[in-house]
Amino acid sequence: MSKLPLVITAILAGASCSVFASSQVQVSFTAEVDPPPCHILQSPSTLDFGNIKRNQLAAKTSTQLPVKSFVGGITIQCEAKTSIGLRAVDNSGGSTLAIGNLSWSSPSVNVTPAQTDQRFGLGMTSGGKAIGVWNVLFHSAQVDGVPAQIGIANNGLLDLNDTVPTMRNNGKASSWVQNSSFALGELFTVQADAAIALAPLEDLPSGTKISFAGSATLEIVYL
Amino acid sequence: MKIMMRNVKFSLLLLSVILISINARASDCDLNISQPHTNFGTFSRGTLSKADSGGQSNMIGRKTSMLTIVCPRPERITLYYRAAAGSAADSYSLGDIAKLSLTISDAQADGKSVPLMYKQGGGVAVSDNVKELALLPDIGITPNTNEPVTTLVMQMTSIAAVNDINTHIKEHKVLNSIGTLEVVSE
Repeated sequence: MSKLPLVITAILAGASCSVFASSQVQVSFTAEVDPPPCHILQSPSTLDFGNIKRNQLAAKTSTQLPVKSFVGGITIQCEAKTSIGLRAVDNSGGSTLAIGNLSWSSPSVNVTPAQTDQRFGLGMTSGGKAIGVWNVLFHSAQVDGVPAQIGIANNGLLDLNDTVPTMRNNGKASSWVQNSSFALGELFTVQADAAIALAPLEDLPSGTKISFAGSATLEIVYL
Repeated sequence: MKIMMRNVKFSLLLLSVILISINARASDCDLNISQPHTNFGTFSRGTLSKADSGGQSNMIGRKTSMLTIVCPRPERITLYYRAAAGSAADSYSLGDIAKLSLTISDAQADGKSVPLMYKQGGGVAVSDNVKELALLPDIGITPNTNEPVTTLVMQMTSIAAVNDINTHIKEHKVLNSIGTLEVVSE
């Protein structure tokens, strides 16, 4: 007695469902986003330290030459508000002098031999010894005319514990910072001062003129 | 005997429930959209629009497509959109930095202009009849007319906008959103 209605119910339900047709349409939406293009309006020119006489160099320690500024500094114009940094690649292949400090007085910064990520090379002598070491200190940064600090971006994140405004050779980027975060703007400016230290005289070949050059490629990265 | 009577009553009740449930069912109407894939193109912060007259700011783009529903017989039909909800209640996610708003408007039922209204759950209208309604997550839109409809044509406007203008855009990124338009008949 009790089973019959249940069987009828099942048949009715099945028959009702079988006449339903699908009336669904899948739709999709897509957009693509790019960072705004940025253009370098002013880039560092070549700094010429001229001829350096042997008697200007210390015999057993490194000798730092007077700090020189890149005239005009660096200016980058972006087509819309964004956050950027500068990532440096040492073109010397890592031939850096492993002794002696690099020092700037304003602001006061000292790079020691242990800070290898902040030392760029000047090439090697014929005897296979490093000729010197150099780096650039960034200062007087501005974003859209408003003063900013220089911060270090590590894998795209601001490292608040690293406030030394020097160029890095390990993939970290020097960036414009305001209010403890990457600054947002369109016009980015910064001044750059280069410091060079040469190897002890005893490590350089005697009797011949040595030509040396250091360079780094700066890459704009979006943060 | 007493136990058997209870079973019969229960089965009849079950049958009633099933018969009622098929009042709101998947439709046998045909649903077509003129543009199943909408591409808003490539944008950057610089190309985002300022607030328009509708108050929409940081807009990536606006696109329009036509929805056509054709039923084999006059029916009371409701349109739903099923997709992941966005940061706001009236929008859907478009990638991880943007949102998508959908609006249904300019409905024509069997060639006549008709107002629209919301339907939710058991078929209770929750909004006044208007010419244009936002297509909200899991809330149906139906023509506000007493007559069942054979052909319903509507316009669907999709607006894509960035959630936060201060979002850091570090690299090229593709933003996607997928959903399903569904017609339910009564």
